[in-house]
Amino acid sequence: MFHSVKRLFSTSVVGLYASAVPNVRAGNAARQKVHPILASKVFIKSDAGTRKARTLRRKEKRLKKQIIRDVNNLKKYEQKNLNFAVDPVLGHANGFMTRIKKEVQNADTRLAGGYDREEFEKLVYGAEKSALDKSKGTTVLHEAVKLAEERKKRALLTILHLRNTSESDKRKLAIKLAREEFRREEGDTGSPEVQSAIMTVKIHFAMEHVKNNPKDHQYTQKVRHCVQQRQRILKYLKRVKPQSYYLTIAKLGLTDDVVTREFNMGRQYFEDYKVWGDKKLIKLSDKQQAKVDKFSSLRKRVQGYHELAKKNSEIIKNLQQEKKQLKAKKVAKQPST
Amino acid sequence: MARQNFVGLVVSQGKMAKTVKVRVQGKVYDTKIHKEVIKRKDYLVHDEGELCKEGDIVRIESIPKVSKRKAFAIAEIKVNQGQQFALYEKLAKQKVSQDEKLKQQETIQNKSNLEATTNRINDLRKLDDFANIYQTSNVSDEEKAKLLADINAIKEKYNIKSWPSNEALLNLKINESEVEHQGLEVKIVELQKRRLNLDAILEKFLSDELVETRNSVLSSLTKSSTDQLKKYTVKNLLRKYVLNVENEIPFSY
Repeated sequence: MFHSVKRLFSTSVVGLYASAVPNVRAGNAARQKVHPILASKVFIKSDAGTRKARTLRRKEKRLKKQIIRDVNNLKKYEQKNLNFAVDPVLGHANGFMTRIKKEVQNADTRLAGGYDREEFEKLVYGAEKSALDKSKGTTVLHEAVKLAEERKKRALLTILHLRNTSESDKRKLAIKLAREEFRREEGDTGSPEVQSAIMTVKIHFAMEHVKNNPKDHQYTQKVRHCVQQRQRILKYLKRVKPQSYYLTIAKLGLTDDVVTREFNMGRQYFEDYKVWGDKKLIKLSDKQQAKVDKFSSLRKRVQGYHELAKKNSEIIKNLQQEKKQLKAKKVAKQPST
Repeated sequence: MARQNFVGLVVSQGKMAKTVKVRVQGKVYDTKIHKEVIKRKDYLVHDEGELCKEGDIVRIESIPKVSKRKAFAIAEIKVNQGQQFALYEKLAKQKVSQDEKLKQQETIQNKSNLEATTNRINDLRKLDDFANIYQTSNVSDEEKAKLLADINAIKEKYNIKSWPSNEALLNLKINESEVEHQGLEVKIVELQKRRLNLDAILEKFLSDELVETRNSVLSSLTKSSTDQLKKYTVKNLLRKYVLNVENEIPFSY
């Protein structure tokens, strides 16, 4: 405890020093984090008696100890109960997967059955042209042929609209796109990068189902397996090719802790990340609930310390400035008297 | 006396100022089970420059105690794997943001390509209509001249020489792959031909009439001078040369 107190004091002293010399380190002082220990500061009035001053000083000392204890306890608790940097199943909200999802539903350039819109237009034009050529020299009108071809085209576009694809078709397309983006060279379908990318696509599509069907436990279990397998593949990649590993996780929107730390897509996950709304999924025992409450109140208390410390540091700063001005005035008066 | 020295792995960094946790591993003989067992101990180590990263392998050296649990300092970083990983992470983030920008451009490009193709097709349709009106219906000379001007404008735009034309006006992807395929087929036929006539080709290549061409070919294949090459080496080199379809044979066979 003694060491930590010393450390805390030393940092606050630095802060005070910085605020006392505004010309030199004004920028630093503004950015300097105010330590919550300043919350215990008691300003003793100059007309207070010695007994009163002593009790106030004792109070300050007691408070200081309490603040240090609280701050350290909270720190310890938060280190133990560290949250993941990103969603361990879905990863970042934007990036690779959002792009793929948009691409899969892009009805302007894509048609059902994997047909390309550009090629489609060309082919339809070719068909129209050949029909026109055939009709030349006969009694059939040019406009009639064109109208018939236009109707055919519209019918084809209706049939081949992306609305008519199934979810599995979309998933297949997404997997294809992922494979093409992550492959090491042409024809690479099995490298860990590709495997993890495909797994990510599968997980994203499956999570939609999980969201809509909370009672499909078998399916959820399959997704859970997928998440674990992706973690395993990425761990392997980190071992054999770290550079590629970091690139892959950055692309997939994951972070290192999601891969290396223990994770199970259990009910706790569904509750924390609000997969099924604000539903309470795990009922805590009285003891567990008491612990949670304790730390949430502790967090609030520490928050209060921080706010109070900021106010106190402002007051200290003003007092010091006043003192300095007084001193300067005195120095200015002396030569005249 | 030499100072106490350990080699260990950095397991925790960034949680305490100028301090890292280093795990030192060693084998200790357990007298109860009569077997060597692995023993690990974690040290808090002073890291003045804050250079270490999690995953580095470091050598630590004892120093006068600086705090309750700190009596060691980092002496050297033996394997800077952690630092390497941190660097990779940073580089990966930059690369991903670049790639995303490229992908965005690509989608825009694809869209504009599609637009260009549809525009082209629409123009070709117009060309058909104009030609049809020009040929069949009874229009005045003035209108005919106007139509001709329109037709010529479109022709010029897409560099079409005649209408109706026999050239391919639109390239299909399926045809592109066919062309590639045909090129491959030609190469295979050529190779088969060369293989069949290999002896004859080599005989002719090694004959005295073609000394100069042979020497020029050989000089491109080897660094050593062509006079010093042995007969079998020359033959081997020439065989290799002939069996590569990319190379041309300087005579007919």
